[in-house]
Amino acid sequence: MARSSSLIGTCLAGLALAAPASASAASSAVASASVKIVEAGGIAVLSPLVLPTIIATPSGTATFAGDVPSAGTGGTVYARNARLMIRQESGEALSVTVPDTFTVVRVGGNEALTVKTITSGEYGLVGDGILMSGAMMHGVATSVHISGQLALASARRLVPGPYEGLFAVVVEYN
Amino acid sequence: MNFRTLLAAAAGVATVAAAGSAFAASATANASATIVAPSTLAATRDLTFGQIAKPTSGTSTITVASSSSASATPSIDGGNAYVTTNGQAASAAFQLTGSANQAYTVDSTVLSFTNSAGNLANIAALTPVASAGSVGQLPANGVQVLYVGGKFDITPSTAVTTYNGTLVLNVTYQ
Repeated sequence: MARSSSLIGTCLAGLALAAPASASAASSAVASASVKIVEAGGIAVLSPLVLPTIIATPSGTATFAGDVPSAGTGGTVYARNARLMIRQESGEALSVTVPDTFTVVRVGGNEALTVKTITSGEYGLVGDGILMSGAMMHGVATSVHISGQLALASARRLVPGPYEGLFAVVVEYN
Repeated sequence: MNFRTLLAAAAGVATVAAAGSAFAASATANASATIVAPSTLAATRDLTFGQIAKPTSGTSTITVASSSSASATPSIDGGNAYVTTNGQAASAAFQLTGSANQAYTVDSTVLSFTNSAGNLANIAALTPVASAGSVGQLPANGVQVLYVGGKFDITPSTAVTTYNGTLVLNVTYQ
């Protein structure tokens, strides 16, 4: 009889322990997560357009000083194209335009000269003022160069000095 | 000899019968069982942030809200990062299945990305949002979807690549 009581007690204890386990069950699930980080589209000036120094002579001709860019110039700024870095998001079409002309003004004065940017007829660019159009061929970034042309008439009175100006390059993402 | 044997046998039977009638008892107890669907948890949609152009300045917090939308657009706070294409993001979805009105607790939501060190900061999962009813209790049909979004910070130094990771949801059914 005592043995029977003992067995019943054991069973009850077993039930009491089993009940909470069946009523509370932990579950876990895993979802994947992903993000693709890309470079921002945009345009940055790596170097400005620098026109050569022009030395006028009494005979009416002109020569240039330091008009050949080269390495190891010891900090001297020679003539060079403007160099821009253009970035786009992959697969995105864009167009880059530059003005046909822009004005440079003498520093400390108001004398102005007109600089003509190089267009397709001269250096194989796409068209008047359009530097490039459509998707870039390689990757998401490219470097472009913009040069300028300054027409000086022999009869023109030029005031010596540095001339500076700005031109805007527009990148349109489509 | 045979008669005595029979008497003895009869007495034995009588003794046994007497003992059986003294302890016999009968009782009826009702028994019932309720069959319920097993409590389950399964990931049914991944957490996707889409494509993000990293900032060129400042720190940007990229957030995909916990919502049912499968074509969401992350929100961006701070910096100048931007979403390259709208509608390419989605929060993760987890389907919970159990009995009607079953209670449960959300123990944890953990979002992590591989190779995030130095690139993605303050990574965190957002508070779950329930498709029906409220978080913590299944609706009458015993099926509920929890949507879980996430967020992280990126800076101009964030490496350009695709980051993959996991979003782990842990729940306990009551």
